[in-house]
Amino acid sequence: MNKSGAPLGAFEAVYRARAADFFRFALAKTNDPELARDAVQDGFARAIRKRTDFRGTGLLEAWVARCVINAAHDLSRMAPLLRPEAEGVEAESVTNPDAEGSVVREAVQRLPQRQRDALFLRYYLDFDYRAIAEALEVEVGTVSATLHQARRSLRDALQEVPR
Amino acid sequence: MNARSVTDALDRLAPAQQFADDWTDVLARAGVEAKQPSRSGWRTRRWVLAAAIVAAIIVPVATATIAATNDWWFFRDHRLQPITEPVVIKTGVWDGKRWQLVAFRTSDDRYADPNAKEYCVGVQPYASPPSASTGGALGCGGFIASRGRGINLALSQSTEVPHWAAGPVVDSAAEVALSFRNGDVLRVPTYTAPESFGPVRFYAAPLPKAADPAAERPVKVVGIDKDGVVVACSPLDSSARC
Repeated sequence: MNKSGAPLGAFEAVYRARAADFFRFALAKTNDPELARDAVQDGFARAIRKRTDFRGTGLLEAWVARCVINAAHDLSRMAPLLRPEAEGVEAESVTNPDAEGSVVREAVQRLPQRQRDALFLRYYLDFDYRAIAEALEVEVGTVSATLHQARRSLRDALQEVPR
Repeated sequence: MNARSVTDALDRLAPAQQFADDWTDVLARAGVEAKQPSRSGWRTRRWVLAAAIVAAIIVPVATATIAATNDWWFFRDHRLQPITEPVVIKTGVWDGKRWQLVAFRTSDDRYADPNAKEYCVGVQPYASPPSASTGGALGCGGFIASRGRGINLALSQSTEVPHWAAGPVVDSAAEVALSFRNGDVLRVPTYTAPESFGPVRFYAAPLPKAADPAAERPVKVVGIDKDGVVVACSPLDSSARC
C-alpha cells in the first residue's frame, strides 16, 4: 500500500458490491432507514477522507465497517434533536403493528454494544473473526467468545417471546 | 425457539432489501470531486427546449390484499414486466406515518419511440415486508425524457399513509414543484435512482388535506434544476400552462 492509502477505486468496489449489506448492518444498529442510509453514505465518506490512515495489511471492508459504525453512533446521537418526528411511537404502531418484532429489537438492544456489533458484522456482512476483530479493534481471540455470548443471550431472551 | 431463532430474529430486525446506492453522494460527502463526463450546454438546453408530450398520467393500481410470499405484492396480481429490481428509493415520515417510495423500470416494448422508458412507482407504509400490500399503491406509465415533458405523476389515496403524488422526472431536476388550484405550490426534492434505471430521478410528496378531493389534486407538476431552471413540466388541468 502506498503512502496515500487505499485507492479510491478500491472503496468504490467495496461500495458497489456491499452497500446493501452495509445498509442492513446500519439498519440493525439504528432501527431507522434514513439514519441507516446516512450512516452508510457518511461511513464510506469518512473512510475515503481518512484513507491515508488505512494500513494495507488490514482488510478494507473492516476499515470501512469501523467508519460506518462510528457514523451510525454519531447520527443516532444527533437523531432525537434533528428529527424528533421519526421517533413517533404512534407511527410505528400504525404502520407496523409488529409486536414480536419489537420484542426482537428490545432483546437485541439489551446486548452489550460490542456483542451486538460483532453479531451484526458476522450476520449481515458475513465477516470472519479477523475482519470482526479489525472492525471492532479487538483481539481476534476474543471474537469467538463475544459471538458465543451474544448468540446465547439473544437466544435466551427470545425464548421469552410469547408466540 | 429453535436453533434458527437468532438468524430469524436478525432477519426480522433488518430484512434484506434493495439499496439505492449513490457513489456520487459518497464522494460529495467526502469532499472528493466525482469523475464524470461534463454535461454539455447542448444537452442541458435539449432538456429544456425539446420537451414534448409524454404519456398520460400514470394509472394507479390500487390494492387491498395481503400476500404471504416473499415477492413484492405488485408482481402477483398484475402483468408487469420488470426489467430492473424494485428498489426502495426513499423513506420518510409524513404526518407521523413512515413511508417508503419504491420504483422499478418495466418493459417499454409497447412504445414506438425508442427513447421511451416505463417506470412504476409506489408509496407504501415503511417496514412491511415486500409481500404485504396493505396501504400500498402502484402506478406505472411511460416517460420520454429526451423529447417528453420529462415528468410523470401517480396519485393515490390510502388510509395507511397520507394521500400522495410520486413519479419519475428527468435526472437534471433537483426539485419538483406541484401547483394546486388554490395557488399553493409544494416543492419537494428529487431522489437518486440506481444506474440501471437510466437517467431518471424520483420524487414523492404528501398531498394537502382538503375537504374537496379536487382541491388536493395538483394542476401542474414541474421539475426544476439546481439553478432554478424549469427542466420538466406537465399540466394536469386544462387551466394550467407550461
